[in-house]
Amino acid sequence: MTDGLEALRARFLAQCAEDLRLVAHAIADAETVEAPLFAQRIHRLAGAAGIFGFAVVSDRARVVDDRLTAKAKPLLESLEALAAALAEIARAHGA
Amino acid sequence: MNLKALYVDDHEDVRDVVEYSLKLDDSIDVVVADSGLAALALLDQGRFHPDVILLDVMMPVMDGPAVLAALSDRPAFAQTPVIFVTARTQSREIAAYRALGVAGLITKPFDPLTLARDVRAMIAPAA
Repeated sequence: MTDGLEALRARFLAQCAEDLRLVAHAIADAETVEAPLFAQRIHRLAGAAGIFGFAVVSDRARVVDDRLTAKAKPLLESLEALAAALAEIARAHGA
Repeated sequence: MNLKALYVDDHEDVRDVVEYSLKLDDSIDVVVADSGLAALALLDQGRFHPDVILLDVMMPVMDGPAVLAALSDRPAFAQTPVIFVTARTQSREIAAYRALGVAGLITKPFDPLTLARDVRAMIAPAA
């Protein structure tokens, strides 16, 4: 990966802490998944995480994104799986 | 002459990585916009006429297909190749996007190091 891409990846990682907070909030309060911001952040994760090499986050975000796109509430286990993946990269990369 | 590309995406990090990736090809000039409305405003000003337009599919207010429809109503851009960029990967959705007449479709995640080459291949005239 080039230096420029590394810098963009670092910025993405820095934002993952906020993504984890949003997902954790959604696990605690299912109503928050209906907020447009939540859907936008999940869609961003589904698209961007894989570009930066975080395929597991991307795949798990896509599961949630599919439900939101279908106007259905995400399953609790899919949110928990996404939170676990985000927590893992936060641990691994100090995000 | 350099290839002029316009990329439209509401997500800053994806927008930046696409811009960066395309600029890895020295012969591509890239302009970005953060919404379909901003892109159309830019085009309507007449100061930038791209050779290819890359559109994120899912954007608030005006999504990729809506921007494509608006472009088709503008004679100056109706023939400009459009490439959709999408995180949606279900085959039915992909088929529906292709049916709209785009030149190509890039699914996220894509490889930043090959993006420019992929774009060029999609808009190259058939041999």
